[in-house]
Amino acid sequence: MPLAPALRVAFEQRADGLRAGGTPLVGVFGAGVPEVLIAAHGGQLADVKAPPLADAADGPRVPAVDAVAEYFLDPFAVRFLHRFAAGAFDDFALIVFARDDVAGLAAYQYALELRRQGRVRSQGPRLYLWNMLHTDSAPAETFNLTEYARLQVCLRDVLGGEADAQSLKDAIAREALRRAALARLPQHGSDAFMARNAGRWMAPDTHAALLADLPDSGEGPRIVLVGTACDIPVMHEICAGLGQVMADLQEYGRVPAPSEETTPTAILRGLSCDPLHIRAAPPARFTSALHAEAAGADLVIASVDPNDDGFGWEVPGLRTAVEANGGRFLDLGFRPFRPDAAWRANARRRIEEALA
Amino acid sequence: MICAKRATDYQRDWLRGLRQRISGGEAYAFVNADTPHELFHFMDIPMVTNQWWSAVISAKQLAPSYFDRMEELGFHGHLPRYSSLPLIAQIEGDFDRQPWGGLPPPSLLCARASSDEHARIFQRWSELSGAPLHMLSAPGVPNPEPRWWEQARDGWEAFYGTDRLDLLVAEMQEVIAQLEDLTGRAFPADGFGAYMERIDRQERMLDEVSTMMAEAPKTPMRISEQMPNVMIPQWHRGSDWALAHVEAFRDEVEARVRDGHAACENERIRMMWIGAGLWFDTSFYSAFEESHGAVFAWSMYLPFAADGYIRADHGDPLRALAARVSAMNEQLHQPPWVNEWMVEQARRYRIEVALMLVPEHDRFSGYGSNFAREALKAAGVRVVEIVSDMVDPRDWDGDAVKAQVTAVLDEVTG
Repeated sequence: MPLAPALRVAFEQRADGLRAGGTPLVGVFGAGVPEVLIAAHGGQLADVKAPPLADAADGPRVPAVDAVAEYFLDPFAVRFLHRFAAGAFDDFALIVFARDDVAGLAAYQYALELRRQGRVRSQGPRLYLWNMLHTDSAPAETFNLTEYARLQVCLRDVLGGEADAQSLKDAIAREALRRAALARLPQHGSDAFMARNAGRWMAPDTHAALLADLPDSGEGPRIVLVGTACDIPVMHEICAGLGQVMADLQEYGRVPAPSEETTPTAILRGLSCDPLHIRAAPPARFTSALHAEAAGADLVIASVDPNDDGFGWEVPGLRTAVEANGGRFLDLGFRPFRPDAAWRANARRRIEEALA
Repeated sequence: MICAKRATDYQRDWLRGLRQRISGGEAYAFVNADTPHELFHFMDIPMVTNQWWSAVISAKQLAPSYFDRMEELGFHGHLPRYSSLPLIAQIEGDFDRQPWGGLPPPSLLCARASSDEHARIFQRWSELSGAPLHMLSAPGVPNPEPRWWEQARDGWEAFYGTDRLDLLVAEMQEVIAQLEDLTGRAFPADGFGAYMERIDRQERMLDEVSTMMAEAPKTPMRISEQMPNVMIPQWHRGSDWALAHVEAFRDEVEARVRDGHAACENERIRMMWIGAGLWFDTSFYSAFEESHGAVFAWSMYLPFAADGYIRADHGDPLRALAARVSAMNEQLHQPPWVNEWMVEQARRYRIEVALMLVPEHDRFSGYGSNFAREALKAAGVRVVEIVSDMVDPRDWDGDAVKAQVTAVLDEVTG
């Protein structure tokens, strides 16, 4: 079956396709936010890190943001700040920023400071920093629970709702339904990528209902994609016909694991122990998980944002590990935020060469 | 200054001793600058600081070849450099040409997750050396009050947050346990409070020096003299030598001010250097004295010794140490802290021109630069942005930068 039009629209319009109705909108910037727990409080979640696709052509550009955003600031943070300053999120009740997201802390601090200085309007959503640590040490677990208690206070204040046992159970059930449907999608292909990610701007049950079986068009050499966050299916499009993407380990590429946790504590533990989060601690956990996921690939393709600080430190070691397993490794280097046709053509040519 | 020479002489001797200890097989720790060095000093564990070692390698003009090598190894060219230069030197392993003949493998590694690269760089160190790595967490302060230097000295519990301090204390206790294992000695907790009190005393004297520098009619010393007199005792903070040295330093500056001594007799413009040192060309700091009477009166190391370090212990010295460390780097680089502090310092020191090092590859250190620039301009300070790097001279064009600064100084002097 082809991709449902509603999924394509949600994927393309993103937060711009949402308007506050009866359910308050809660923006999420970055991975690692306990979304199901927020949903249990009555918020409708929406990713605000990835801008609408049209933003690349006609997105707002606000002088106050240009004045303070360094040219080496993460592009997701920059686009968020321009949109924030232009009022794109004025209908939102709250935006939760993941501190451990590569762009999350800067986006939060810059937005907060722009507002404090009166450089942007003061109305709009409350801004909140979610500090969860990606480790399971005893001090971190205590800290994460304290952070959750702090988040609950904020959610009660902003959303007015209380997450009782029933609302939590309902939210978990809706998310489980979505994840079960997601698990049936193929990993490979741009349609699957869009279908998965459309859920970032949809209620879980709506999303699950629209997810139908998509043909698994992938065949040929097994490809693993690694690198920094990529919110568009550019790498899947480039790989089409050249091989099958068996795993996309970049942010926005990964498939959420089936949810089995039923308590806030377990949900937080599950999030904090994600070994493929780049701030997973101890840091060896990330390296090991990356190598394990890349094992079995015929080709691993790396590409990073030019402002990358972190992932690039993994590339030589990953190359060595992949090649030791008999696989091939292609480092495409810097990937523009919105790659043009020339970049795509060059990347495809290099992938063809790597597979030859 | 007499003191500056004493400090560099002491450091040279001390480093010789450290090198002998390390070369002799004694365990040592390799740590990042924003970690609790106090724990290592107090347990008498030799310690080498990543960023300091980076500066030493850079001062030996070795950075270009290592950064070229870094890209040959497959690390991309936009990765941070200040924190990674020692790693690349270690990977390269050409110890014969490195300062001291290079570093042997450390026994312990410690860094803070204050920026994304630290964990990754130190993980590579751990793989290379086999040493265990202690990563200290760095959660953000959710509601950062702008005037941090007013609250952090005494009211740090509320300012940094009880949960963040609890976390760091618990993580430091894990480091202490590791140090106890390494040394076979118990952490003498009873004496730690007195040690912390000595550090506070040292920082208060540096605070006095900072006030003298700010209020003196003419700048009594260059920042090239400030740096050894501040950074070397900071390295040894709390030791007998450090306290004695800072006291002598304070007295010498006091005498200079009393005697009307000026680092630049023709002083007409007071400047501030924002950012870490320009370690590969420290002569730059006096480049504009003769031509424009422009003297650097301010670098962060002196005033930060007070604002960044003085923390009342409130009966819990380990927690006071957590308060010192828990946002150490962030206060220098993140809004609103960096912009508010820069303006405060510029006013205090009567600064007319600020030179701001914008290290585009060390983005964590570069963030907040534009907020600081805008705030300084709004406060009437002219800002010259220098896009360069603390340790990598490959893109440094000294003549072009001097021309850039000269143009602004010409405007000021009319």
